[in-house]
Amino acid sequence: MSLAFFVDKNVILRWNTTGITVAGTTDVVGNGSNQLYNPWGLALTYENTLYVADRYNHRVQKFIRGSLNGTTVAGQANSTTCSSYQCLWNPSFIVLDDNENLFISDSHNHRVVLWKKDATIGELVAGTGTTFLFLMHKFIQYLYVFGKGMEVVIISLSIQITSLMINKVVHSMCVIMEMIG
Amino acid sequence: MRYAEGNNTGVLVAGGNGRGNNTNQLNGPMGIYFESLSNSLIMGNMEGSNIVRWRIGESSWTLIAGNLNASSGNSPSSLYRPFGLTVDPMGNLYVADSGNQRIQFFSLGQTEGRTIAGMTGVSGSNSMLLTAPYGITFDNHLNLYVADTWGNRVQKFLRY
Repeated sequence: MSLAFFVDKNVILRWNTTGITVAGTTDVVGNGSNQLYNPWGLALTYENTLYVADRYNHRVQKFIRGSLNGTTVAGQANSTTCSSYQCLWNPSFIVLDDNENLFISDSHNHRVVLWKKDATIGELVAGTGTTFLFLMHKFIQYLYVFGKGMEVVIISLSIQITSLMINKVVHSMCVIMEMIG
Repeated sequence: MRYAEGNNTGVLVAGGNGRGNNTNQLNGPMGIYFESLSNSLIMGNMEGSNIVRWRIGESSWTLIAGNLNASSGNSPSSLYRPFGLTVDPMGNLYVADSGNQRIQFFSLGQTEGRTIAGMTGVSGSNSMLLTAPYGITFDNHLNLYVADTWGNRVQKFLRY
């Protein structure tokens, strides 16, 4: 079964309604390389490498196109959680920049962290320790970070990333998000 | 947009009036998208079961999808606990309508959605069904990727 939508004379928008599992094992909870636990945020590279916020496993998994075996690129592969920067705790949203540096909404740690490509530890981008969940969105080279009661930073990803990145805020605006929890 | 070069003191652009369903409030937003053409934020109110557009600098939102009174439902024009959302280059809206176990497509300017993945109200784990989708994204060919969050998997739906 398929549905077709013609929204432009040159573009046909229709999708096969039979899905293909590209990460995780259906209805199986686990922290093996082919398993996920409550995945939420997704991000793709131009090569279709898939990054998944594996929320209840407290890690971000990377899946090369065509492989169901993921590798842990942020957090701990064995689902360990903690509040230090080696760990994640309920990561929800993720954003990739063009160099595969990874921005992670580390929800239960109340912060947004940056894991540079191949890094084994994250670093703080935003968060005051009180906001439960950050929403993130990337627009061109800008990262939009939204959280409850905090000022929102829009960070230019075109700036070379350093640990001082939080000081490189180029635009700023605020969205008060009244979140549950 | 307000630019505040070098200044990380925030400027309120949306919300700030407590949680609720009035047009100057937000209610559990779980999806966000910045639309540059309209200089607005498109936000999904998970608790309000609707998708709204809040133009930067204005004091209230306008409805894009779902019901103005925040009632949830499973009709083509209703949503139930929407989470992730995205917009394609043509301005069409896609919503992970988690409580209806479906991905809804809203053609630009249309409030009647169409289901492009999953089946309304049917939770399941076969290749045609979703359990509760939270995350949604596209690759460069507009193949659809869905985080079927409570099914513990990521599903890909090929565009053809």
